[in-house]
Amino acid sequence: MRRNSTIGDVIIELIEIDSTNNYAMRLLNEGMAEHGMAIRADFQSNGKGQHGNVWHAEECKNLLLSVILDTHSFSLDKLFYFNAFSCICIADLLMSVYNLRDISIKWPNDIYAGDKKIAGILIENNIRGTTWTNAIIGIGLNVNQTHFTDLHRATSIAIESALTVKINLVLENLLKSMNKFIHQLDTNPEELLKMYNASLYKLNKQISFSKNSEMYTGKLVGVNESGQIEIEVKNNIQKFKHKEIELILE
Amino acid sequence: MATAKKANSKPVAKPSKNVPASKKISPTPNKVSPAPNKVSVTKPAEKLPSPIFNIGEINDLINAVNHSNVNELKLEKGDFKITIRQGGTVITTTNQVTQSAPAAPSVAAPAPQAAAAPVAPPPPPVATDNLITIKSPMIGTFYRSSGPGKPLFVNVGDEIREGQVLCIVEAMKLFNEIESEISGKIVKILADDASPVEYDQPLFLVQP
Repeated sequence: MRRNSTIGDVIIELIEIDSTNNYAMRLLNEGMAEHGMAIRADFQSNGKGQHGNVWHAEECKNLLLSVILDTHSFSLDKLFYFNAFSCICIADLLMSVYNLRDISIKWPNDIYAGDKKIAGILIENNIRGTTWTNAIIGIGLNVNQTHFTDLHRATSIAIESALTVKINLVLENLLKSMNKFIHQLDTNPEELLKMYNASLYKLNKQISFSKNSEMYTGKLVGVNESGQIEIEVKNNIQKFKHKEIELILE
Repeated sequence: MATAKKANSKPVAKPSKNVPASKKISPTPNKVSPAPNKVSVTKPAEKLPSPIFNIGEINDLINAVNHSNVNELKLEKGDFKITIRQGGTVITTTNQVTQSAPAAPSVAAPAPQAAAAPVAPPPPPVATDNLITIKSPMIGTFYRSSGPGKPLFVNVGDEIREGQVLCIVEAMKLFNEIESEISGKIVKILADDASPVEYDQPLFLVQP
């Protein structure tokens, strides 16, 4: 697998699959994957959320996509830049193509419209020894779904724009967005992190969080290159890993 | 098992970069899936592209393969390719394999489970001096399966091959599948499921 092709040169469209990330992983294991390959499904029977969580999406209404990237030339300390890249591609798509307002990135990798989640990302990496061989960027973007069981926490392009859009057009535009930013992973990853921080949900705002069941408040000042969130608590900037703290967003 | 509705290279960004027809299809590899899902095709046929194998043809092919000494049959027609393997999973990327295709002998008798059947004998005592330690490449959370209730990637005594996934180390919501660099046998698992691990922390002892 070589990094010489455009993302989305090869698109595999599936009617139903357990999860597009699993499918991508199987392609990789079978030696059939190529850099830039995109896998889209109308429906995922077992879409992946965070470890063990299930991503629910109504059939044919949302963009369920996995993209395979060759990462041989990157060191493992660049892992979080791929997360920043993925977030920026979606945020840029929503802002510049669909003109959605108030798009932000909730640490570490959810995309919000206002205070509601519009997209989620799940990245799986293959690592052998210290070699990072490839990344599978899994994206669930709510497009035409207008009914959610948890409506006050979820939204979609259709809800935000009052338009029904073709999924394949969203796919096309997202791939364009990815091809627009991918080179920065090689040339200027710090810029990606800067953009990530510029779009960070609740940046420079007071937020509440819990750590070991105790509540704290502080000002969210940014996310560093390791992906740690930095919160100023009583004039003292503290760094936290994901899962070390829980943000309280109500 | 999955069915590809269509697998094409689209003139998305650069029409000139279309891949050759031979690349347009990627058969669904499913050999590694512990529990292949049955395919359920819910789409009306008119949504599907035209040059395909029909169900009758696929059934005939499977029957032909079943009654022959052929281990694997690959055929291409138009944009579609089908691969049928004996005793394993049927791997296709046509858009016409539906639940009604009685076909797939492997669906009726799940091969992966059968393959996993041989019970590993109790591991003999091993010398510890030539063991290889597999370490965590990063700080994160160590997981022995892909999710709660899912089968463990490996157990003590398992024979592993190079490239096999041994565990997941999750960091910052990034899920890192740690693959073995070597083939051998798992002698010891040094971290608990769902526990935090440090950079370079030993995770597995492997007898090469």
